[in-house]
Amino acid sequence: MHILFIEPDRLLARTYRQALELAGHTVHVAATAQAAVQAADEQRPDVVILELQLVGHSGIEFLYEFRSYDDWQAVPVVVLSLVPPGEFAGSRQLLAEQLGVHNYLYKPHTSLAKLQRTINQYTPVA
Amino acid sequence: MAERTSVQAALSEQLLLAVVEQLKLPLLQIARRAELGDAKTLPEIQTTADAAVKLLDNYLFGARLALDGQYELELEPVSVASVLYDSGQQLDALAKLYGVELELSLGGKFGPVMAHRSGLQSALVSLGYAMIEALPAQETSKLRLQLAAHRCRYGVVAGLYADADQLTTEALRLGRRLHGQARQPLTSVSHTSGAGVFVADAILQAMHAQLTVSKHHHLKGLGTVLQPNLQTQLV
Amino acid sequence: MKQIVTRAIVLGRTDFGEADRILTLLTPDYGKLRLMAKGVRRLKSKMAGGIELFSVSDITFIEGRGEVGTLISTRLVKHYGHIAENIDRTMLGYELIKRLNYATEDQPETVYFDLLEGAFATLDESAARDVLIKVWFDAQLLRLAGHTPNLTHEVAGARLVPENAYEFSFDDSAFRADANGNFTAADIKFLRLVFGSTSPAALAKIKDVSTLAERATPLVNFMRQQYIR
Repeated sequence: MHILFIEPDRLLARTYRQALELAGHTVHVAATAQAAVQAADEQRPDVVILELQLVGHSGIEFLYEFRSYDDWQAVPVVVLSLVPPGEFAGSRQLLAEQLGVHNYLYKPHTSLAKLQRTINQYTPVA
Repeated sequence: MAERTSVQAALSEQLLLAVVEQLKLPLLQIARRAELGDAKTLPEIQTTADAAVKLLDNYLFGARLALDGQYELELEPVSVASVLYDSGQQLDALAKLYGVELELSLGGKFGPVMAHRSGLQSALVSLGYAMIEALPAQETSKLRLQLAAHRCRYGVVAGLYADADQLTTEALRLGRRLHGQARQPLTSVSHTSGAGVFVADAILQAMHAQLTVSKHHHLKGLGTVLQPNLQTQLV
Repeated sequence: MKQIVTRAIVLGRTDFGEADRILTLLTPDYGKLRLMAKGVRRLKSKMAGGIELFSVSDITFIEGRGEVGTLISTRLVKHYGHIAENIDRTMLGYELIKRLNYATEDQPETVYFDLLEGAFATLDESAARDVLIKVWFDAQLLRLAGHTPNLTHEVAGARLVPENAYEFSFDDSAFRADANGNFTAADIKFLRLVFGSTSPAALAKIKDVSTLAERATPLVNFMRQQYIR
């Protein structure tokens, strides 16, 4: 699969990319919301992995922008974030209904193996 | 005095929250890197761990001042160039890891300034770590960080500078108000709690100095004004 | 064709055709505009282009023959960057934009632009709780649409008094004395403040404000849905 990985920290990005590439995926890392939209435009991702804490524009703002394009409304999005899920419990339903986010992974609780298993749910059927 | 104690205690709590939040990042970096199980990653793990320890250490330096009631650091004549150089040495490994080019830029020859040497270095290193992490996460940043000093009307400004147009006095003001409460108090320039900036702020305040947004040539960054050692001028 | 310059806040963006986007913008002097941004689709995201959400921009546009004009240029004036760092607050910001968009199908006046900009400023800096901001915003939408409930006299005409309990009559848009009523003097006083205040930040220091706001929310929410959209 082609994965768009939105991760602002360079070191974490390198580690995650290496792990996903070892599992056979192609990965494009974008550090910012703007770079992520441009990357998606260059190559449509099969799945987006998204950190919510970005510089300037948050991951939520990226999602609103991303979902406003017809072609990208069905692309699965997995949130992998430093923000604890409890901190946005009030918005979960809105996020699911309006932005199509159904999978939330909290970084401190998500090993590379767990991330891989989550991504595997979105493998396109041949 | 009691009022100041409670203010300092409050600042320490906010700082502590920001530092604790910040520490998630290097520990995550270490954990995920180690999970890859590649022996070549050990130097990276070491650099990341070192940075985390230094952040803690610099925080403790500042926090102890508040808890012990030592609000003021004793000042002595210090060579700015030497402090900048030593700070750069400490920052070098992490800068390389993040792909940030570190440079030393001294706008002239400076006599000694009045400062607390280890406090000033702790502050600059804290600041440096925060900026090294933040630069690659910004939209159009060139990955170059300058440790620099130049003269101004009020003394000698020493600080760290980069291509950071979004760093404004207003952003810093809001950041000071929000740190420990907001996840990203410096949201226009950093994706983290920016703890290193506020640790530097606290240490500098104990030196009767202040962190301000300033310019060095065409670069923008955070610096502090230091007073020249007047005694040498009398000789 | 004459170019017009105005301040604007983005309410929404959608795709149009192969290369264009249509923006819905709220302006102080021209109400709600729908403008085509030509050729921007996919070239780069306009998140950095001065027409991003939670921002106020200066725009230049040309009126169209039909409903949609053409956007010529934009310049960012103020970006409320702190809204986006808290997720619940971000979602609240989008929710307020959506509510204002629904409430202003007809051409809105300057006051709606001021209301939204004020809401952004509050969200960006204020310590006011989300529940307070939401109920205040809804109350302002009701007030601007001419639907402020009667908060001084009950249905029968007598003045509202602190000793009584009341229930709200939606048909009359007023309170009715009711020994088993859910609303007390504190609730009604809070509603007066919420409908009358130009900023929720001014209300943030009221004692038990979150509880009062939570109690007022179903009433104000229902009124908004009934009378506006």
